[in-house]
Amino acid sequence: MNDLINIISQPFMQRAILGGLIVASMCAVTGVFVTLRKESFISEAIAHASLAGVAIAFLIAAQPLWIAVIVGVLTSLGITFVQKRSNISADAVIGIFLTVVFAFGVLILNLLPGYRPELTSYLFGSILSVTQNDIWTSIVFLVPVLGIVAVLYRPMLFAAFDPEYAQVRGIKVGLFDYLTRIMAAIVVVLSIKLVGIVLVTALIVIPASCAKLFAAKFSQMIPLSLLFAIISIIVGLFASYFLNVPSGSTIVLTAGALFAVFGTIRAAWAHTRE
Amino acid sequence: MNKIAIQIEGLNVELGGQEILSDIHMHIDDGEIAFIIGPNGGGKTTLVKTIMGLVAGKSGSIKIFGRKNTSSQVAKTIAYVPQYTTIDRTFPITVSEVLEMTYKNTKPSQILSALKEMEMQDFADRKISGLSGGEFQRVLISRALLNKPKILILDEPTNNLDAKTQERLFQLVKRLNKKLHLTIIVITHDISIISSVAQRVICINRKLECSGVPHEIITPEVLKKVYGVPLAEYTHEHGISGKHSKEEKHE
Repeated sequence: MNDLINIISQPFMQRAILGGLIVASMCAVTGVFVTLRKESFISEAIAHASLAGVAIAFLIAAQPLWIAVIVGVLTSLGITFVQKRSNISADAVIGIFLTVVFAFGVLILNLLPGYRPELTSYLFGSILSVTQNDIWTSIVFLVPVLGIVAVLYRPMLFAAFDPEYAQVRGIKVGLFDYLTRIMAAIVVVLSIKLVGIVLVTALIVIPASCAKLFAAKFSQMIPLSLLFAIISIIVGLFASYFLNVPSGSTIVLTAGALFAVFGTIRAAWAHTRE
Repeated sequence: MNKIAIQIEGLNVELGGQEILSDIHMHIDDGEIAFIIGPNGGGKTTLVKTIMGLVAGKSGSIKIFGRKNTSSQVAKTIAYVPQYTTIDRTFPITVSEVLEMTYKNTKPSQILSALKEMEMQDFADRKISGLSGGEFQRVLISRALLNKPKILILDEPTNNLDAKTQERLFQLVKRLNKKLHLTIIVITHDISIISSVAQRVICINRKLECSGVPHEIITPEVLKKVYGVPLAEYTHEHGISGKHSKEEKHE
């Protein structure tokens, strides 16, 4: 118990926990809409594209998170624009953006002089890497993300659930396509400090999928998703500390374990009712 | 003289540089049940999507109760029930929530009343994943009734429904037509139900092939002209079903 109090009293752990709670709330809210729209693969593309943002930030000595957010948002807008204006399938467009922007990031990183040890934390996440600045940056984005969902919850849900009829009812479905993806881009990029570029999609998809297993109605999706995201992040952070491994792996493995356990329980329960 | 619900003059529609509909002139009277039939790829769905403004026409005019089909006129007058198979029914959402999301500040009493019209009031708290195809179709029609539309468009409502469920669905649709004086447009491949329900049949195969009362249209000669094969050869592969043969898919 003393060990636990000792760990929590460490400033880096406090920052990681606070950052984790902010990220959990954004991932829970956004993940529900991303999974409802079947757009999980987009978060993967945004995460990989954000490497280019980090690389550019290294090059121009700017705040990596801000530049990564800009690159992530531009990538999500680019994917949506090309998807709407061409006859190329969605998965192909995402695949093109993912690889090309990621390749651009790799190219810039290789042009930079010297070794960048902090790069590993961007790729796989690290509890030590969350700075006070990152917390403030996350709060700056948390407010509009939660605000948008609170105000536009109904039309966002309608546009995701049945876009064709939503359009007939006068909802600007195209606008919500862009809005949801911009939100996904922001959330994904803000999560990479904890989970890493390679694993961040899990934080969008797994809590929402766990919530889907148990939600009796849609209004329960966000609270349940939030609960699973918080458990994954907090347990994952402590595991990262004790095992001395990147936090991305422990957070995602915790989320995966929750999904496996609750998925099995749900399947067994459904089986007994048949 | 009957009031005209939908009037189309010289409508041409192109998608991706390909002509989908050519020089369509037609009208549907207020309070009428009109069936739109035609082969796959003939432009039936494109026609209703153009009426609703989801697809832009290249030329021609569409008027709904005498006014241009602007988005506000469409939203005010038309309710659309898409093919229920296009909606993800695995998502954990209840029947009430499906109706709630459609309009701001929808009252529970309005939801219950709309569900009652389709005899679905006992299903309000059920998840949509637990409904049969016919039940879900009735939920979507209830949702469409929420804003008290003047025109109801049903896109292939009988897909994957068995004969009994189809019959029940159309009994309810006929009741809605009478009780609410709704103009109802049904896109279908299933010609077997037309005679007992439709007041007008419109045949579309890139252009308007025919329009009239069922007994004039549902004849071997006219159907051969529309589908390009004799009635005896009609199969589901041709995109038309002359008898009830499909089974309802329960989940």
